[in-house]
Amino acid sequence: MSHKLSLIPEQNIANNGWNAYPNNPYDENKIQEIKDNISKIEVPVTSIPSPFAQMHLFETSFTFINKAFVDDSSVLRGKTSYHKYISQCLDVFEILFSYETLKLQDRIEIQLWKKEELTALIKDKNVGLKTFAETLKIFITNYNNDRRFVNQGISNAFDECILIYIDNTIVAGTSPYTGFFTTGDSVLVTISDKQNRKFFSTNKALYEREEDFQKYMNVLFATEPEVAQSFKELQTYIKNNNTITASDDVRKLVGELERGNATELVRDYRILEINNEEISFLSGRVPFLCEKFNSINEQQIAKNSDFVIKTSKRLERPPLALLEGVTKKRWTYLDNTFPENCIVRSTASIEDRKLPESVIEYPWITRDDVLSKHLIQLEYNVNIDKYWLPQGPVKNIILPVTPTYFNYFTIEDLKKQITVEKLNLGAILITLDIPVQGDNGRGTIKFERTYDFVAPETIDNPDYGAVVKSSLAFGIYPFFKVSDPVFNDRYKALSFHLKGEEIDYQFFREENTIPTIAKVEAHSHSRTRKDEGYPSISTYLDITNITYNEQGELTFNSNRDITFDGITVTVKNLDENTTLDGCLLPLMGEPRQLIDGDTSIAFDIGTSNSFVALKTANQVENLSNYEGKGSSMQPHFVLLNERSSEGEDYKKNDLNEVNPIYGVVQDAEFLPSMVGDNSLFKFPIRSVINVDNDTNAEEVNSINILSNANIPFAFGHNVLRREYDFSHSNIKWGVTDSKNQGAYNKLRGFIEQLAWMGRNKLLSEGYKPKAANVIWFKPLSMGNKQMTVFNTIWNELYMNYYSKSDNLSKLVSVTESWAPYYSYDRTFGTGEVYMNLDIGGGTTDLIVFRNNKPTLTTSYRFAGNSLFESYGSHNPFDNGFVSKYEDQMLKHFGSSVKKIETMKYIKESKGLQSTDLVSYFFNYSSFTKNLKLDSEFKLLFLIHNCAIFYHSMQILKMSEVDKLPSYIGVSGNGAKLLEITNGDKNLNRSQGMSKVVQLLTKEVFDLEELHKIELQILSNPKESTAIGGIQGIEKIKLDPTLDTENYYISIGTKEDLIKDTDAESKRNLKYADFIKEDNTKIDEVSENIVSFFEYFFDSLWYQADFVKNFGVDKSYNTDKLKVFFTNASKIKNTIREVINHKIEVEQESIINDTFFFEAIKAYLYAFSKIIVSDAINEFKGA
Amino acid sequence: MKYTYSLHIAFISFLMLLGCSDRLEPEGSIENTIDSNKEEIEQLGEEIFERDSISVVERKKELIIKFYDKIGYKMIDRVLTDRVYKSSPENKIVLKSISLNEFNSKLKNGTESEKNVKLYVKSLVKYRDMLFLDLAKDSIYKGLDNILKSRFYIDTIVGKERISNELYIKLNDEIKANIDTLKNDIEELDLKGNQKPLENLVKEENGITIPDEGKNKFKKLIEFIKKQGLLFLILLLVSIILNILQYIFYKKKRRQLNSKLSKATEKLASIKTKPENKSDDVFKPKPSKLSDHIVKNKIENAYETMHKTLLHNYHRNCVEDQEVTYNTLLSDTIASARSERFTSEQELTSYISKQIQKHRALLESDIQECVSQDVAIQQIHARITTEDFLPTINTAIIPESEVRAKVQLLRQNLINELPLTTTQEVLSGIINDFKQSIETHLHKMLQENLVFYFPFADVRGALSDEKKSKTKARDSALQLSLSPDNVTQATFHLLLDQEQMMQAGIMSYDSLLLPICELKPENFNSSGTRIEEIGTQGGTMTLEDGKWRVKDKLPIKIV
Repeated sequence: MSHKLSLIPEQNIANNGWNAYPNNPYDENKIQEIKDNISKIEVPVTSIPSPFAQMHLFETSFTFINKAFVDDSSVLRGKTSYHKYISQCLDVFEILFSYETLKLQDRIEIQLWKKEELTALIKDKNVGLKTFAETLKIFITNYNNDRRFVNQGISNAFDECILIYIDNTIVAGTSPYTGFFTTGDSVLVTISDKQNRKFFSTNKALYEREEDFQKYMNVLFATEPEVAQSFKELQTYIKNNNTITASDDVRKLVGELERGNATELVRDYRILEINNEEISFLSGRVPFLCEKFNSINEQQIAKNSDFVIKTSKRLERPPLALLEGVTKKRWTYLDNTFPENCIVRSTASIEDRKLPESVIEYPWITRDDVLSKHLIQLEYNVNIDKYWLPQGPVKNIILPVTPTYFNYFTIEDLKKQITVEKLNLGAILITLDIPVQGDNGRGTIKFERTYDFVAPETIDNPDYGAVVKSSLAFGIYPFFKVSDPVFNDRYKALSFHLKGEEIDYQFFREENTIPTIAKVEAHSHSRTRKDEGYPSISTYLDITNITYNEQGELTFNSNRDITFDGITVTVKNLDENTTLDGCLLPLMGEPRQLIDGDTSIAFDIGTSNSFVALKTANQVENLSNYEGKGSSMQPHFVLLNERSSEGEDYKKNDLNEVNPIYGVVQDAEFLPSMVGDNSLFKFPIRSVINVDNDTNAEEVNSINILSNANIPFAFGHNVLRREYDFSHSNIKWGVTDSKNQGAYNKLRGFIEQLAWMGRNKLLSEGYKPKAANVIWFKPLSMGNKQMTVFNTIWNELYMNYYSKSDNLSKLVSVTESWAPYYSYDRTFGTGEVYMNLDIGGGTTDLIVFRNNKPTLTTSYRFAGNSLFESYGSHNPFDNGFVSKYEDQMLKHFGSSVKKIETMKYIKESKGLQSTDLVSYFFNYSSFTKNLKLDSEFKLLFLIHNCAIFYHSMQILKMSEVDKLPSYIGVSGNGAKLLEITNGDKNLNRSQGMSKVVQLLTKEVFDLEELHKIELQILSNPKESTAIGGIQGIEKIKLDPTLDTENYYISIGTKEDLIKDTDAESKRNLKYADFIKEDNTKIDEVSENIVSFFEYFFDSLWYQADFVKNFGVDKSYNTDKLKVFFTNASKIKNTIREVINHKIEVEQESIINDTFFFEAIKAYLYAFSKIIVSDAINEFKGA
Repeated sequence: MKYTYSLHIAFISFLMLLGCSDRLEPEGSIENTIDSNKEEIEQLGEEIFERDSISVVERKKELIIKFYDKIGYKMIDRVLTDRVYKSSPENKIVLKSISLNEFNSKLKNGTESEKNVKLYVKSLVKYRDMLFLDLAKDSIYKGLDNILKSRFYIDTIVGKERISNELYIKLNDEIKANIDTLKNDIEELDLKGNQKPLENLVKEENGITIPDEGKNKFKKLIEFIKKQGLLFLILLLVSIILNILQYIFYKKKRRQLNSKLSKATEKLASIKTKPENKSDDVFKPKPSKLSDHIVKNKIENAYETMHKTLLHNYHRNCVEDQEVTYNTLLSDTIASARSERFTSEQELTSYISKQIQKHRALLESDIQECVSQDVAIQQIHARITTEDFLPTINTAIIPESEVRAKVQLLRQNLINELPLTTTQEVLSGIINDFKQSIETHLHKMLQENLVFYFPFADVRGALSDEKKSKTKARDSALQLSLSPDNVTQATFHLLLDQEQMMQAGIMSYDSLLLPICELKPENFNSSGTRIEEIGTQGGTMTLEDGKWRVKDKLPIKIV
């Protein structure tokens, strides 16, 4: 027989109640007499805290309240411990009942405890544990025999217990007496019920609880008789509550249940399982039911709210717009009005938020979500034609709208919603009128904030924010989109600011159906970094789908859309320790429609200078980065600041007005707002590239144009910053040196910027780049490897920026000498022979036309620079011209610090050389004038010019031309040197250069009389290549390889002219062969050179009368000069050195350039140094 | 046992002695001895006291005068240095080694500041003279600190704006040190003054037995008793008999003695008030004296009445301001009245009346000088107006509204700091000082409004006026100082301490420096890192259409 424990030894207690044993002073009657201050105070429980006592305590609580209810129905509400335990018991029921509705999946866990666990404990060696287990087993066995259960046929009611954990803390367990019991006073959870009451925080009677829960409890007890019998005090309690519940539905339900209609109602509930473990009562006999969660219904309630926003976005769950204090009594919040004093704050992400004072997970937004706490004020007015701001006097701000706003609204929504008002005392009021469903869709919730000129830390009212100044400057290039999305492939953004701020940008594209924005990736490069000792910081953002792969090849991903609709800005003010949000809305306008058109663009990348021309609408013009003229000028690079009203046009659109420091950095590191004929910065430009001081150009893919490298259009105009911008010239050469990756990278960067700018110009004019002829010019003397490099670069750039495919049909490479032919207005008649010499900085290209077609082309690596180059191994400025004119120019520059310092800069720059310095001198007419009058150096000009014509005529002769040219066109910047030699612009003056050319022709062709030849030079010889290329492209394209097919290579002798396509002959023209002992070609070349000089000093000198007609120093002794210049041994050695260099450094195998000029170059350099030394006297006098 | 025995013997002897003492001396001689001795003591003591206290008082007075001369010099010299002759120290009057009384004769009477200083001197004299009233009292010690605690010193000499000024902290310390010295000196004087009469008495009046000598006598008696034990037993018996007899006569004798003691007391009182007649009136009956309690009450009531009258007639704050003086005077009167022998209330009333009259005059003279806060505010409003300053301000530089706002703000600050009461002299000083302070503030504003900071000029050498800043910003590179006479003209300098801006300037000299600076090639060190201005004149700019444009370039060199 079971028995209950007694403190009295050997006393058995009848199993009919925990207090029913003989002589117990606290028998039933006595207990009845005990008065409790029900409803008055809470008296702490002092019983032994065993689980069984705790279970009894809960049932006792119900018992007491039920009994008191007989006399006083208000007793259901109260503050006593009984009320507390009842409330906690009901809380557990309700939490589990609403388990799904309250979304407690991640917060509640259960654990099933079984009596069997005691078996193991009983065997434990630990005596304490063993005793405990044995005792507990006795208790359970005893309790299982309680008649309440036994009589119902419920066996082993206490064998199982389900423990309930909330947030990993045990809170409650199942009880055969009351369903659940809790751990008592220490229950502390943060779960709120549907009416936003925190469970366990206050006492709440059943009838005060949600109607659904009241119904559920009734249904549970009506349908589960075992529960009703076991939890009889709880059942009584439920019945008591039913009598006073305010819910008609509950009463109605009770009526139905009494009529026995419970079965149907149970279907509204389902058995609760937590982590696949069922919750049940009475050791698994009765499953626990919970409400079925209807998420759709819940969402629909929220969607029907009058507070739901109206947006142009088609969102599945448009959020509610809520603001503390804005209750809008006539509007429905969920199923009621918006509660007074409701706290509208949440740290959760908007999509994961629960609606205030509800358990519905549904997005809502409030003021802080969409309006920045503080306002960014700029130091200039915004260019409102290009960056949107609301109408009004306030033009110097960035809209304080957060990125979150655009998750729910479109930019067009914003334009309708936002107003900016300047208050009388200067503060700025920003208002967002958020349209909502209320008032039949006419309602609005105003999110507004007044931004004042106070320190941010003083703001303590959410209605107010601070105006915080920012030094931010910003711009986008190019500032347009086109209809063919494949060409919306690259944008650059410039960002400048002063130290003390950190600025981040997020470019975004609108998404119309989802609550987010499409973030557009921008690679940021800080070029003048914050830790450099410069007052401003520059950052360039690259937004592109054109990238370099690991092999260093340019590729594009047309599937990746990089267009953007807006930019969110985050400014962190380090001084104020404040972060500010804002947004920029660029007004790029509608995408420009593109047509094929008859367009061409030509790139003449010269050694010293480069030029780009393009043809659109039958008009050939120089490349520019703007449209229109004068006040209607629209730069492609559009800054945030408004256009200045002062200064020259080219300066009106840049950053100089915002801050002169910014203006300096823009010119040095990025792109002037105006490059073109209406600007100081116009083509032709110096072939120079600027590279960030922190960039190692030697690394593969190290150059990112307009991020860490750029074409310094201001080169020669402005002083560049020595420590931050490293200028590199002579970029065209050295690219074949495998050890010089930097040379390749710089050349590609330089061409890429021009190619991209040209492409953008075509787009801005509405032409499809893939339909345009893209012409690039090559010197015929370019070695195979060099040619391969150029081809690779151009092919890559063309495919990525122009054709967007492998189709290279519109990419045309043209010989530099061929193109100028088409730049002449006049035509040459049938049968006429026309010869053009394109004398550039590095190469001279010869082309002969017969019947308007090239019949002979060749090229020499001997051109303008050959006069001024340094061959000193250590000093790139070691040249007689430099030595003589450096001081003279210094004197000429007088007090102009800028000119003097520019000169010093060139000399001290790591990447520049003597040709750059002389080129700088040529900017000043005085230099040209002095050269024309320099009788000593005039000798070198004459040798230089005559050598070109002499050997050109030799080639013509070797080609067995049957007719001599009557016209020789001279193009390229080097052609200007002819003017210096000639002393007059008119090369055809009497006894001038044309006479010299005629004499040379007579000599070479061994004519009896002079053949009349007219020299033709364009006013802008550098431009003639590109312009001629464009004008002649159609003819060139008819047979684009005519020039190369007729490309001849002269070895430098009088007899060896090999056609480039003649593979058989070329096989014998290996560099390595020339230096073999039995090879006589070097000797023959030497003889040819000697012959030239002998003719020059013995005959030509006098025939042309260099002294009289060209101003050559009359004291020169031609005999002595001839001896110096005809040193065959030196000539041969020089040629051998060149050959070795070709083999070892340039890694060329087959001859690609004549040897004729190699020794002449060396002579020019050597004699230029003699002229500036005392040694010159040895060449003078009798 | 011996001890007990001895004690018994001593006790008996003591009783005997007590019994015999009266008996051994003739009755008349007791009172004569008491009276005559007392008179003589008092007479002598008073003479010595009087003679000595006069010299002590005088010496105290001298000390106080010297003290005030010293601290007066320090205070006034400080004021002269800091406020009156700050801009022209060469004109400062040197008051060292001159008595405080003579300060004003040395001081000029020209400017308001100089006049104020004279008022300060007067105040100091007044504080000093107040101390003279307490020369003979213990309250003198308390009074020494009064000057440091006075509003005159705290508000006028020091003032809030100078309270943390090191010079004034030093002044305060020096005054404190002088007060301590003075206290010590006075204490020493008092000590000497109190000891001397007693010493003299002991030394000069050998014939007079003073109670302290009884101890020696008692010792001798004990020794004698020890030696003559048997004899004393006999004597003890005799003594008992004699004592019994003596008791019979005691009552009779006591009655007579009381009567005589009463007469002696009266005589003593008459000796004190009328020392010249003491020999004649020693035994004359003397009128009864009013109790101290009555005297005190009467005086307090009278002073209370006077206080109420003052409150009625004058501003409460002004009257309450005199509380220390009032209480001192009341205490003085009570103390002095106690030393008087008022035989009738009428006599007392008459005495009080005289004192009240005297003290009321004293108090009223101070109260009349007092200016209440309300009146002071009215005076400040009347005497400090914006119009006083406008003529001296170029309103093109500081708009009139700003001047008004500044004056109003400063005036309100002054009003907020006003004490509940002050004196007209002090108030005048405050107002005058304040006017100077406003002028200083406005001058500072003027200077501030004339100096602006700008970033570098654009390539045309032009600066937009909108870019001016009153404080240096990160990109500030130039400082423009506007001409006070013509705000469209300014001189400018480079902000050489803006290192990074200057480095940028050197790097991009063509864009940033050349538009505004004269930089000759010989002054350009291309590897230079520092800009130096040549000369101090700076460059000049003029304001046209909202743009500052360079007129004269700033000569610089890069080193």
